[in-house]
Amino acid sequence: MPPRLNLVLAHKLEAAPLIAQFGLQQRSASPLVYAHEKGLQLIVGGEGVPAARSAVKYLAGEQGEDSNTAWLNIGIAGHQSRNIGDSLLANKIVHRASGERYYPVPLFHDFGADELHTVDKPEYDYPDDVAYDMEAAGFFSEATQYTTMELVQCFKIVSDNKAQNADLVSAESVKQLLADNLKTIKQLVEAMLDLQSSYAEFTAAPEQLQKLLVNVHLTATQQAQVKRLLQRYQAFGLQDQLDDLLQANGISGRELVQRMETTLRAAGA
Amino acid sequence: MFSAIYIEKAAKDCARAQSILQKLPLLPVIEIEQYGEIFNRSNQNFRLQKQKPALILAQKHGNKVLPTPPGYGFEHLLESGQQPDPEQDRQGYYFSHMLNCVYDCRYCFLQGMYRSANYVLYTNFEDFTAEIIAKADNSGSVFYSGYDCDSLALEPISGFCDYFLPVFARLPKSVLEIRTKSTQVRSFLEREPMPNCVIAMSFSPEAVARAMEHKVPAVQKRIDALGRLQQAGWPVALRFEPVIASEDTLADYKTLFEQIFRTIDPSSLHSSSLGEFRLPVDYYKRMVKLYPHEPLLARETVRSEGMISLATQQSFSLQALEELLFHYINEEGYYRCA
Repeated sequence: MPPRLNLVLAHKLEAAPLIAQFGLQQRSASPLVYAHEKGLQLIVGGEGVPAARSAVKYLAGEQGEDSNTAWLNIGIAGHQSRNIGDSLLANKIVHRASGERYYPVPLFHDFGADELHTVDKPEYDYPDDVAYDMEAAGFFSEATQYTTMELVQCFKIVSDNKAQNADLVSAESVKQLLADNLKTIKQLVEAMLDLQSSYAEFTAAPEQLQKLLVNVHLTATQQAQVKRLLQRYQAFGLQDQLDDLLQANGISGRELVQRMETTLRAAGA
Repeated sequence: MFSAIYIEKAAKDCARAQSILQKLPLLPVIEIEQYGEIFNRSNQNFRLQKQKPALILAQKHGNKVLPTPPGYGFEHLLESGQQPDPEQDRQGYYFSHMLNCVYDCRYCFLQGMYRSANYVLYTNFEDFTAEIIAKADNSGSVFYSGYDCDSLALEPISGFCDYFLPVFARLPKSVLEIRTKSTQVRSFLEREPMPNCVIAMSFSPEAVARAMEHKVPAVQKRIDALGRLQQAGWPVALRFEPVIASEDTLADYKTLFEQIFRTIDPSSLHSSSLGEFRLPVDYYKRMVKLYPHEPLLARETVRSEGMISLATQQSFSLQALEELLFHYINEEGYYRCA
């Protein structure tokens, strides 16, 4: 099964509780990638914007162009005023170095929401009342190259704030913060998988297309025509009339298109 | 109702924007530079966003009031007893204080026109007013609202009627048409009726309404709301657009007309119109991508001059439907929407 949701994390420390929670298995060919047979995949990409970009690029490269996979960046973040342990989904990401702004689509609720500034080194001053991380801008700008924007989100857990700055963040505290938020992360993952399913339902090629391609040679144009004709069959509940066509041998692409159009016309479509 | 509120920096100081923010205190507010950076982005999906759209509060720049294309509305209809005079043709204009609609009609061209399902609400009503006043003339210009949105459906948030009805009360020679499917008519019923403000309600037969007009008030509720407005003395109009032809179309419209004219008095109807399902090819293609399994969009189509319409049904013609309508209304108040 191709991946349906890619989780992108910076550190193994952050990833460990998720790997356990979702029963992900390390892929032997790519030791930083962990996958599950149900379409969940996780990559430990390293710290910083370039690393996040590379991690996304790596997974996207494996998946090919026509992907409807969802992407979720999970990690810790500093915040001027939020309590440690609070979680949030970024609804605005500002890359401080370049000034570029990104706006993840706020479709998921009950997960908190805040502005997130991506910085190149740990933020100790927290000048604005926003969250601070080191990867989101790279992750978001890259992941939205491969799928629709609604399926790309950044989830952050506050690890430090003005009262308890980043120097006090330890390996143990990071692990604990992720563990404490596992239930929320699981809910978010499920919500994103639901959205990904509904997106795939109307964007994926009809399954009968592959079956037709076994027997009939179709040019690229004819493939597009047949794809649309199959969708029209489905719209009018005519799938059972495909049986003969699926078994047809030796007909040309042109003939296939004509036969499908004739059937639709006869059905009054 | 909304997933979040985006607000342009320039709109932050606007009293109307502030008042809207106060009405929605629990929503995340996200500051943006220009609404286009949210609304016009590529790589977003209208259908997914429609699950929970955000509200974008923005300022409208550039032209706010535009001439209508020929055949758009009723401006060419003559007042009773008036003789045709090309020199005195009334000019039609449309303006949109909002982009996108809270309803989700599967035939709606907005799905193909915009990349985003978020609602853009322009808060600088005063700038619209200035252009309306500049364009209003003594020939009785007609101003249409409800092309890019439903004019009434968001009234409790937008305050559109509360603001614009008094504007048109000061422009008695000009006419405002408010096109809607909403039953939120309280802002009209609480005022004295205005002879130059027409509430035009859109209807489809029950079967089409049920299958395609998602989140829209039921047909009977719309009829009741329009009936209340008519009884209160407001000019009301009927819009039957788009007509989606099928084998049962004439029978379905006969039922609809009977249902409507049990409540609506045709003798004091402002106007009626019919218009077929017709879209620019590009919009249609985008709609097909969003809803590939929608029966309406899977039907056979014909293309002509960059527009798509449904292939003709042998059992149906728009003329036959017009003749049916003329059993109930006077032809003088009718136009076919181009």
